[in-house]
Amino acid sequence: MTARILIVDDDDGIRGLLVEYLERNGFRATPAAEGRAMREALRRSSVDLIVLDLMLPGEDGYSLCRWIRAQGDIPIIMLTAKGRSDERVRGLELGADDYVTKPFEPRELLARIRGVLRRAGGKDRGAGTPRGYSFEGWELSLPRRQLLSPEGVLVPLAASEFQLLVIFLENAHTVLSRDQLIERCHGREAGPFDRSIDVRVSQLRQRLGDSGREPRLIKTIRSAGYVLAADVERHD
Amino acid sequence: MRLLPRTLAARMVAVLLLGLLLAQLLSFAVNLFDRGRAFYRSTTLQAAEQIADIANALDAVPPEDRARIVARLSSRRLSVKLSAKPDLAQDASQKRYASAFQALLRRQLGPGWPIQVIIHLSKRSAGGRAPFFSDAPENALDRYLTLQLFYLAPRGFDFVTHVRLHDGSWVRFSAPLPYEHITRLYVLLPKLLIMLAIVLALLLVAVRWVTSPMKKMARAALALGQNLDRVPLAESGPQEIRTTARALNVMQLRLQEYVRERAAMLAALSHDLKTFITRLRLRAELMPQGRHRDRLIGDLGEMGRMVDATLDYLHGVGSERDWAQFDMTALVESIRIDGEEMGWDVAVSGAAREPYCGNAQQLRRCITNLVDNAVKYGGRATIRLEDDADELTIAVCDPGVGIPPEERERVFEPFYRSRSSGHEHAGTGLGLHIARTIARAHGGEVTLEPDTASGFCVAIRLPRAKPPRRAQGG
Repeated sequence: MTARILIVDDDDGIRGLLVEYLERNGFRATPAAEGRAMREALRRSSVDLIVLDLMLPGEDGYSLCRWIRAQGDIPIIMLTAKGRSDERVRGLELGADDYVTKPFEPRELLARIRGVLRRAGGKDRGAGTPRGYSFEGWELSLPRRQLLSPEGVLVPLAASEFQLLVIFLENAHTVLSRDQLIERCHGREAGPFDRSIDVRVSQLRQRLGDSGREPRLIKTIRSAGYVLAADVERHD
Repeated sequence: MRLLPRTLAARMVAVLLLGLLLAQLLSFAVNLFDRGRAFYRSTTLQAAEQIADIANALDAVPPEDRARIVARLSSRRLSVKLSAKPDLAQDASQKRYASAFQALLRRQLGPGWPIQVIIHLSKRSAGGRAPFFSDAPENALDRYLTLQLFYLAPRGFDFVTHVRLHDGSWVRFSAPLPYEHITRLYVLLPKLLIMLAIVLALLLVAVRWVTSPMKKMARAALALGQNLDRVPLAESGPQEIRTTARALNVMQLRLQEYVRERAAMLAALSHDLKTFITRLRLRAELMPQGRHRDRLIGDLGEMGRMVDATLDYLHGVGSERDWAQFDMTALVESIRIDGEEMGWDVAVSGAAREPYCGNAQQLRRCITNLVDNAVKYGGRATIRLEDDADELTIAVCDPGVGIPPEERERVFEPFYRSRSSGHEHAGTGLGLHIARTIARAHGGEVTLEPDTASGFCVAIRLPRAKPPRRAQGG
């Protein structure tokens, strides 16, 4: 079944172009110019994901985001020209699942949409995307993309490290094969990159202070893959 | 040696003290002379009256009785002797006093009494040094003092007066003039010191009144430079201070207004720019594949980065509120990994030994800007981390030709683009400027280090200790 995406943006050009672009890439897209049109579209048909602009005439995106969250758990990707990190954090803390700043790489948006849809479809979503996780004294904040060590020291992460850590945290105590990891990281089949995933894992271990010889947190399962051997608490 | 003290308070105290001291000296001198003169007048008048009385009395008694009376009348205050005709020689320097006394006596005696007055040095303190009243004044000043002030001399002297009675015999009077003790300053000194202390204390209070609002003003002006939205100054205190405070507050309002307007304009402009770039980017994506489409996408990417960099530049560096302990090694590694994802060739050596306290996000931008330059101009980047007790150094090196010496300071100016770069994507001209601004906000610095073993390096030096706050208000 093709997913239906609702695009809320007050700019006619962007709205039309996005609809065309998404339809070309196998989605069904519905445009809405502002909050009222969005509510109307939501009433008429079910929507799998909303791409939401923040600066809208009338009710702004933050407020619409709160409203959508109050209604249910339709995934939201915020698409906005507001790129400052505090604005991003605010958007994510309101319950948006992802945040893309204008101008964006269209492929990047596609990847994010697929990622969010996969996360939304795969698991019971419960209360939607969590705000963060804690494990073994570590704290990861998703909106802030911040990892805090048990000693209270910030550990900056590369985008790929962050992504990998989130995958492990979502699947604690589950063995993940290299193929699964690669697919979830890059949204593609395992290919010539399958070696780099080992490098990524070992980097992530370093960040977590997990010695390579006797890893305690991310364990290697011979000929099967990796597993995060830690109790993970999810913060909603 | 600097004579003028540095602070306004010290200058005011110095000037006022100097004035006070001068006034004291002056009034001291005036008092002294006045007192000396009064004392001299009353003493000489008394002596002249006595001499006149005695002369009149002696004139009235027969000459044979005079010797007996003279013996009775003679006292310590006035010695009286019958004498022969006096020798008339008199030193010119003392003539003024002698003739003044003579005139005084003449007024007491009335006309018809031949008088002669000379002055004799008293023998009492002849051994001591006599600066004023010497037998032979040595120089002009000495002479002047002798003539004008010799009644203040530290040596007493006697008026020796000869009066001729009507029968032609002479009587010799000798009136010692007790000298004034001007050398007893030590009696006055404690009083003077107490007075000085009181005045000084009051002075300090007054000076504080003037200067403490000035200090507050200076702090406020400085704080305004750091934070435009600081609480306005209280418009209280003396009128001058109130006026200045009001002026400062008005300036703050204007600046706030200006900054708000500028921010609003920029936000609108950048929003529109970003909207257009987004549209163009989507259009490009929907265009058929081809060389021009790829170029267009590349240009649009560059444009987007320029808008972001300009906004970053205008947005400035955040405040220390966002500072936290973070792992610098992890930060540098994450920059390397993010770079690799973009196809950059980045290597890292060294490590930070301890967490660093700062704004990790800003420093990520700072380092990324340098890595970006290194990759753009040198093909690849090597990040070297060095950590010691007082400084954390992050050197970003590339094997390229580096920056020519004549451009080395200018490259830090905003919007300066190296002419020698000749690169297709010359960048925004903001990278190094923003990097330096961020490093400086952490009390550090970005410096160029040409010709090292690792090639051309740009080093970020960050102090380990919290930077001393440059007199910033909260």
